[in-house]
Amino acid sequence: MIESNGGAVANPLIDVRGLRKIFSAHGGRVYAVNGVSFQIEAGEAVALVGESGSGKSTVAKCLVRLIDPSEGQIVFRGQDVTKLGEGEFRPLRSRIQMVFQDPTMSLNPRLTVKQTLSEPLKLHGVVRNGSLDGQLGELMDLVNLDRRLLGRRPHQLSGGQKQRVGIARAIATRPDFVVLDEPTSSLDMSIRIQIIDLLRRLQGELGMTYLFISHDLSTVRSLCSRVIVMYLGTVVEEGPVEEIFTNPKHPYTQALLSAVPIPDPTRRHERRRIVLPGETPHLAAPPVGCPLADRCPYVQPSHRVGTIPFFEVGPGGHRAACLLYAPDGDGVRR
Amino acid sequence: MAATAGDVNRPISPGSLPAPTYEPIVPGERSTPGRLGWWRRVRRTRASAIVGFCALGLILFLAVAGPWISRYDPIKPDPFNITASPSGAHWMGTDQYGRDVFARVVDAARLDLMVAVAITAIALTIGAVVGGLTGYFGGIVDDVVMRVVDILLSFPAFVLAIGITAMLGNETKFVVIAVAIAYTPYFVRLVRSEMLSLREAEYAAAAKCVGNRRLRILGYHLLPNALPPALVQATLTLGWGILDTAGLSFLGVGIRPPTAEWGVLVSDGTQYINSGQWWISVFPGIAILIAVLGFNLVGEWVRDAVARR
Amino acid sequence: MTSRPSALISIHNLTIAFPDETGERFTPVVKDVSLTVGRHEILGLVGESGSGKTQTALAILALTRPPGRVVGGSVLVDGEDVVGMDEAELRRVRGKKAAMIFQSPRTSLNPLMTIGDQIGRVYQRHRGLGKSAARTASLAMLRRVGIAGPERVAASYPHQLSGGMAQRVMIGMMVACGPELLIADEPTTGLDVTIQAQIFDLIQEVQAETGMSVLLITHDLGVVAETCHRVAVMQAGRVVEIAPVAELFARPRHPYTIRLLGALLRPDQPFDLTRETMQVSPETVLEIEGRHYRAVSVDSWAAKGVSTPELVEVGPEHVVLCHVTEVGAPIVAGAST
Repeated sequence: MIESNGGAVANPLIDVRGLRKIFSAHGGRVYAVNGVSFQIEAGEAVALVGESGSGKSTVAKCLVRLIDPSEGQIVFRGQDVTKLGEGEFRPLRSRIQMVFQDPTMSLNPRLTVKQTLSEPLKLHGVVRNGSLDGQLGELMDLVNLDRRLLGRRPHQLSGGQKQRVGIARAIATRPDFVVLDEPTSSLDMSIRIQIIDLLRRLQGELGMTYLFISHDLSTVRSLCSRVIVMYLGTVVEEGPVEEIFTNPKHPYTQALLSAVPIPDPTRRHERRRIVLPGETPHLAAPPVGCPLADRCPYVQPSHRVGTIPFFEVGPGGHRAACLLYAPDGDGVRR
Repeated sequence: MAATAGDVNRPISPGSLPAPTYEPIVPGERSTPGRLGWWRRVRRTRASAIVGFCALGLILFLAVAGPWISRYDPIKPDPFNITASPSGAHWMGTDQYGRDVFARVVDAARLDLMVAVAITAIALTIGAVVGGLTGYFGGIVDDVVMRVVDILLSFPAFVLAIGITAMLGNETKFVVIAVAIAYTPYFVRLVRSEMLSLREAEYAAAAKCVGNRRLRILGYHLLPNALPPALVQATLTLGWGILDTAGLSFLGVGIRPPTAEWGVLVSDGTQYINSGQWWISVFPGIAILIAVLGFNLVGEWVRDAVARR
Repeated sequence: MTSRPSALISIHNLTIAFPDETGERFTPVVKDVSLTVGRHEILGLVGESGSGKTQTALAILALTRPPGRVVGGSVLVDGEDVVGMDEAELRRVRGKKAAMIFQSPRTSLNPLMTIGDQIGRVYQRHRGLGKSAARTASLAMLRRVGIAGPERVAASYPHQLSGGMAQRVMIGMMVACGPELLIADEPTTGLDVTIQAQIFDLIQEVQAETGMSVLLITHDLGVVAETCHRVAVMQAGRVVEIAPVAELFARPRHPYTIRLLGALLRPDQPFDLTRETMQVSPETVLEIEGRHYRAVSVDSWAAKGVSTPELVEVGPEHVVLCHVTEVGAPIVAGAST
């Protein structure tokens, strides 16, 4: 085993290598994830951004082992977890947790908050002798919930309270790595910021590592330090959050960012919307060349062959999988 | 925690308004629906459900308190008192062996209720277990079980029950088994279809992430949520179970005389109806009617209650 | 009609209530709402879930679903009150005067009819066109709402369309009716960010072209900032503030509006770590005494036993829901120092 907090780039907490997931459905096949690789260091908050069909949720499900990848490896602290059987992986679940999108759907309607939160503690044997109640209380305090709510069932809680319970369940075992699957998208806007604040604080206090799955870019900018942009099952760009937001390079990222509404009427006339024609297609065959080729305004014939490598496009490991940035440049460098 | 709105630096500011003082957020964001209102719930219950509960209450009361109300032995013949019409001494008259009909109806209530409960319990249990497992795991076992269920469902339950009792013999326990087998497929199918949708529920995924084993997810997380429709079915099955048990006895393939059972009682009296001794058959018939009606009305109420949640 | 331009829609003291389970008691979901939609304007109706914004909009088309019902107030559509109209009169209003698009366009379309036939029917019924003219018009409309390959789309059925396409079709179909008001109820729910932007751009374009009014229901203040001219904020069944968009963002007055704007996450700015988290209790209301505003809790108002709040003008076209303590005290417009 590798010591935690090695600190160096050499020891990422999570190392995803060449992840692929192919679903077979209705006689056909869907290429949901096509060779995704990325690393996450301990203590980071990384956003995985993309629209529907980007494969971001599939990656998330592979990471917490709700589905098995078709190909590729997920290395957690130096250990290839894709090779582990369900039973061998189970102890690791206390280290890798997930917060779900819709708390109304992800909480068992029959269980009280107490029952829901006791589960991870009991299953992973982290109940300190007979102090379950004390631990539950601490957990409730951590997520700013009144301890008196422990006896309630989900339908007696507000949306924000439910999501706090969902977060409490995920952090109960003090995991190293938490996958947050659009945890704010089903919440009202004033609740959303409270949950973001909570997640930021928890990360600071407990030193967790986040992978934040989202299509909501304002939330991403408020929570994450690094961004990975996915399109059609591949990573198209990644880099530090401010780099991506102020200096997006990949045409897809540029279009995506230009579509986000800015809540400031004084800036209404500054905006320049980049519209990519068409919509995200469904892949019935593995993509060849650039996945954006059919919609990209800068596409060249050479972009439609082979695999597109990453090019360094900015500081802090900002890179884009786009031939426009190839140093030898068969495209136009912009 | 609750800071005030002293946010002058933000581009969005309350303008020239004197900064209002804001009160802290109360911890419980929203109040819960009160636990009281029990009486209100009773009041808004439909009349039919109240009739159903009364009917069942009556039958249950007779079954439990019967022996103390009636001083006659339900089995022992009384040759000096045959086919006596209803009177102060014999509220429902006596039958062709001089047995008190009321005593027999009341005695039969206990047997019939127990038989119905046993039938339903068996069918529900098997249905929940088999339906839960096949629905959750799917696969070849699921395919095989479902074909068997389809075959069983292609017979009317009552006909199936006749066939099985004919095979097993007509003791009470065999009648229970036969009728239970006839109703089990309904429960299997019901629980399985619920389970098919529940296994995709996000809380099932969440339970897996938390570290639950599959059997625990099935038994602890999903099954309790899959059961409500089956419980509605169970209430109705209680009524049908009584009807079918009585029907089997009536046809002579179920419980045998002299045991006091409503079907047996009705059957006993049929040959006397034409000669005017109607009470031998009619009173047990009314008992069956009240019981089945009761279970049906209450079943409807349960169904609505489940749907409302 | 007078020569003065009157509002297209004017809602006065509208109250809509739904019965509880017993059917005896009615709970208001829209309380005493007064609102106007001017001609040629895009009005945003903002609020969180359950704030009554959809119910308010439905009332314009008299589509309040029983057992809910309008228990008070009036809804004037181009001068005519739709409250209490019979179905025949309503048919005249729906489509012609006001049309509505919903959150899930695919369920609003007839699954058994091709898209072309559905739009064609609208032209035949509302515009009195012949069959072939209607078909030509339908194709033109599909092209107008940004659908590439209109012939192919016209021949397809709703389930064959993506969510974004279906919403484009819905917009086209409603615009085909030639309404004076288009009501759009969270029209991009479930759509991707890029598609959402296109839909709102389309609504703006069509509005500018046809000069119709739009009532845009949304919970996203970003969308409001980019799309609307004026905005009304709803909270718990009441309109708490109405103002032109720039005015509202610059000078929000009501505690709830301030709270909403304070909860905004900016995609165009780095996250402000020093930001003070402003938390205003949802139960806060605004109290005005002379020229002084105070945010107080609902309870303290209930304790005082004071009357219902009213909309007070605090700036040009800017009204805010206040409890006025000192009757008759004039509120200085804009309340600027």
